[in-house]
Amino acid sequence: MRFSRRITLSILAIVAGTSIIGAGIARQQVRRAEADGVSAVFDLEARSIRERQALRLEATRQAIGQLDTNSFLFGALVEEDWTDLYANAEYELRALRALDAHFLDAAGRPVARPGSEPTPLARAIDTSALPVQDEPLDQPARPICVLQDGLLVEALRQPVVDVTTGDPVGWIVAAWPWTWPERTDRTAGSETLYAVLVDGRVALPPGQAMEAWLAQAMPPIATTDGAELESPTGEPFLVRSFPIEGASRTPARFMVLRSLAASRTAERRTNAFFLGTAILAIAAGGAVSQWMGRSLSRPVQQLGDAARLIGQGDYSIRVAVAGADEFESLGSTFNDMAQGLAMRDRYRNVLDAVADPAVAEELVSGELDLKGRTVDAGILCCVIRGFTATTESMTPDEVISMLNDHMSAMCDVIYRHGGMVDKFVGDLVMAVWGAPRSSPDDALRMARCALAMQAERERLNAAGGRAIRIGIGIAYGPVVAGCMGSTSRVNYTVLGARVNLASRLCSAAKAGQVVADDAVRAHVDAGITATPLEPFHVKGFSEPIVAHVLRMT
Amino acid sequence: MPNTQGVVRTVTGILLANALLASVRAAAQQPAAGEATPQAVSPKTATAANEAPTGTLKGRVKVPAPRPPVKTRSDYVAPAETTKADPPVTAIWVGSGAPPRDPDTTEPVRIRQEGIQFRPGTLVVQTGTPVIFPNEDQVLHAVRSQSSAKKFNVGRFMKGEEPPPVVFDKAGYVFLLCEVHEHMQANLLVVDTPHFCTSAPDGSFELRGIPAGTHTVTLWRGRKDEETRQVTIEAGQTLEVDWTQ
Repeated sequence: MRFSRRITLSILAIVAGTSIIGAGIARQQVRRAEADGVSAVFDLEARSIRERQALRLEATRQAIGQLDTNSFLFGALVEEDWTDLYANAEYELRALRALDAHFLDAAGRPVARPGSEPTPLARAIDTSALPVQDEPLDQPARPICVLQDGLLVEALRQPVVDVTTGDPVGWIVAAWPWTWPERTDRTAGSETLYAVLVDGRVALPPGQAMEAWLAQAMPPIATTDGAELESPTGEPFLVRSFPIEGASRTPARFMVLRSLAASRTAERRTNAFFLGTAILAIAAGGAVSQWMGRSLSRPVQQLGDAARLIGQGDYSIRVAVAGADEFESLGSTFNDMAQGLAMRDRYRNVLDAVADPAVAEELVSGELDLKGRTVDAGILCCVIRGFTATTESMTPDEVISMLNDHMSAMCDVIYRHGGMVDKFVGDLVMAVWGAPRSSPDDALRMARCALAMQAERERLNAAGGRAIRIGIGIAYGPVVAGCMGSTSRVNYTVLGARVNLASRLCSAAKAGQVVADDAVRAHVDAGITATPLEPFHVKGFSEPIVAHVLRMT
Repeated sequence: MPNTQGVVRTVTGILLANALLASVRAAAQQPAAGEATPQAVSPKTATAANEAPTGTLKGRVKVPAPRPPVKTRSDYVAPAETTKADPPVTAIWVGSGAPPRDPDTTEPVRIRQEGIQFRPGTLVVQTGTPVIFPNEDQVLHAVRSQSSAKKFNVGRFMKGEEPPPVVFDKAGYVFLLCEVHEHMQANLLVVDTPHFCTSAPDGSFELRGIPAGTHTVTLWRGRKDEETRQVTIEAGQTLEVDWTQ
């Protein structure tokens, strides 16, 4: 993947990740705050409902409590004289302003007004209430919730106690209609609905909307607190419920439904805002990352292209990096490097020109032993016969041109045969086999090279132009090879008697001849015929030299 | 001897009781009318009974276990000077069907109010016996009953303002209450026999002068706790019984 694309993708990933995480956290915070708010409202509402119920209960307890201290009711209950009981209670019961008021005997059996049947409400209360034996007498009377003919009724059952024994001699039961809390919040979308569940049936405050739905939907979730429901109109409601204090067989539960429509709308708006922000952030991040990626990748691209060109040998390339950052400094370093490489390349070219390529190679690679050592090597010397006579009538340019053509042709042959061109001295070419690298067939290859040089010269002469005749002397034997010269400048060359011998043999060679010493002859194979010359004295050698003229067989 | 004031108070009491029990049928009130015109009882009848050979019934009844402290309503607090009520005792009477006594000649029986309690807490009287309720406390008391055997209400009175005697002319249980003090209760058993007593707190009792023969003995321990036993009394003999079980 491209560098700029990687940068773009990374920046995009970071922006997108941050946006999504940020939006998620913010959304969670908003939701939590919302939930806390709703919860607080509920708790407040629940407490207020409980407190109001407690207050109302206290008032009714006090009202009914006036009766149980009435000693005439006590007497009548003890005597089980029901006529007397209702006669004595007539005024007090009326004062209670209750929906229904009746008595139970000591065992908790309902006692109807003599001559009349118990009312349906009294019957409903008595069947819904727990047995009186389960009532703790030392605590305030607990209310009983009854739903009768769609009317929610709260009843209290007050024992009439014989203070000498602590035992109840009877009970007063009085019922009042339930007082619903006022629905203060009627704003659409945050409306609050109420319901009370009694014996699996639903009691609703008069005039409240969605009666049928509430009647159906409340019983299954009666005991769960915090359920979420959707009304038939698609309005979401959060349902909280708490038990109503009471002594019924099935405890009643108060249920508060709060519409979440408004808060959901607010939440959707928040979500849209966060989504929009995230999209904007991603778009901006994309643009910025594109620009940054390009600004980073352009110099990298330039440097890469330049490096490729340098790899291909073009050291003239320079990169232009503007600015004052790391890329600029990298660019100038690169340019310095290219310049250095170009300089070195030039040096190498010069080196190759002034030294044998093999020696140059060894020198550059550092493998050449700069200290002198004795090796067996072959030395070839080749001179142009009749050079002075040939060049007499020529201009210096023509001489140089002729020499260069000749030397180039000879050197090509030498290189083909693995020889090292040691030096040019005037029309003389000196080549070495066996230094700096030696191989067992150095003498043979040298002999073949010498014959090939003669053949090449013949061919060039036949091809036209000026005819050049050469004589070649070759010798093989121990020489000292190494870099010789001053401390600042050295030449890799060979020294020794064999070098002198080769030079002498070259002088002895007639045009077109290859004269070799005895050591070379010993190395040539059947492809080369050696014709011995008369032994002759050579300057610098005490013994007469045995030399041979070589010829292709 | 009841003075004029006392008579007026009695009449007032009856009127008050009648007013309060307005819905009660007049039939239930019938015996109350007898109060004003008590039936004459021949002194001879009593004398004749005394001449018959008699024996003694002696024994022991069970003593109820002491009640645990009462857990009562917090809104009722008895006055500080309230004393302990009399311990529960068993009322015992032998036989039935004897004619009532003559209230005019019968010495009234006393149920005192002392230490903000009725004393005694349980009393047995023969039909026709007048009962007076002397107040010995420094506070107001009131005595009334809603029992069918005798409904009455003498109203409130201070010490020295005792209402006239109430004559109990119908056999049965009378639950006496003080309208002022809820905790004050007394059990009055009106029986149609002269042979009765209440057990001592330890459960012992003795009844002398019971005519020889087989009798039904009634043991009354509480409003809902009454039982009968058969005994045969022999002349000049004492029958020892153990009714603690």
